Amino acid sequence: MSTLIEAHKDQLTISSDPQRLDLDAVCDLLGGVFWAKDRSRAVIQASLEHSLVFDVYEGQEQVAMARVISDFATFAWVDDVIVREDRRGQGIGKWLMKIILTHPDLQGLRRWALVTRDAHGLYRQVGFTPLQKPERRMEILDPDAN
Amino acid sequence: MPTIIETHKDDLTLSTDPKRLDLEAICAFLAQAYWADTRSRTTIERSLNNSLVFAIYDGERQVAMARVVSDYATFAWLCDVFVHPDYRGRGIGKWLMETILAHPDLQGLRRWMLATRDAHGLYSQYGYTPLQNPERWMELCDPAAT
Repeated sequence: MSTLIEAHKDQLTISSDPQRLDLDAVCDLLGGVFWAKDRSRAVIQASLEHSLVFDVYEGQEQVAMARVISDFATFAWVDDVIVREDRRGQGIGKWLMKIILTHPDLQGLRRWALVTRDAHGLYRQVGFTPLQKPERRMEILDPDAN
Repeated sequence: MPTIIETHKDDLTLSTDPKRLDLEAICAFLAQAYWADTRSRTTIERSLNNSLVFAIYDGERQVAMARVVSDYATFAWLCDVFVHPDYRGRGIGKWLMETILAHPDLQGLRRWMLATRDAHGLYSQYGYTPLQNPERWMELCDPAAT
């Protein structure tokens, strides 16, 4: 069980409390992005159970999320970083990433990694860089898997 | 808790039972690995507790390992693949890879990834390819972290 954190800014709250997670809201957020729009509810539920999930709430409403898959020792994979369309451009993504990177269970890791099609600018602001040696990375990609 | 599997080949046993893991042997392996030679025992122990670890035993002696960090739904990071020098050249790496990719809790994932300096030949036999879109990848690496 990871340390629960909560952070506040303006009317927004970031929480990593899995009990607060609203599966319907997460499915809605994922349904609106190109990389996860076909992901089944069952797969989403399983993924949440085995990730550290950060959700951003405005009141009771979930307006953003991000998910980290980690061994809490050497490696963290950041995935499903989503800010609801009507809340973009307000710095929520950057705030969320900063909170994630300071989570007490995610300190001293050797490597954080992620893929992004168009949000390099956001991640660069919090310390991510392009791969120095992409030839040292390999992947198995199943675009049909949801 | 992922499914525990066990398979046999010649006199060797491959098991994912965390209770069988030999922390001393793993620390000794990793001390010889270029990517982990400064990793502390505490970090290693924590990493094992939060991963699916595949280990090969000759009797009671642990002779190989590989570790998977996954959400068991969409993503898996394969790391710390190590075969004891006395046991190399016997197809143990291949056996490990085949068993890992067939693990029942690691099916239907959208992406597997790994980092390697020199073992591309092994991994390409199991479907790993160079990155299709390396410009989409970003990392935040701390070479000083253990």
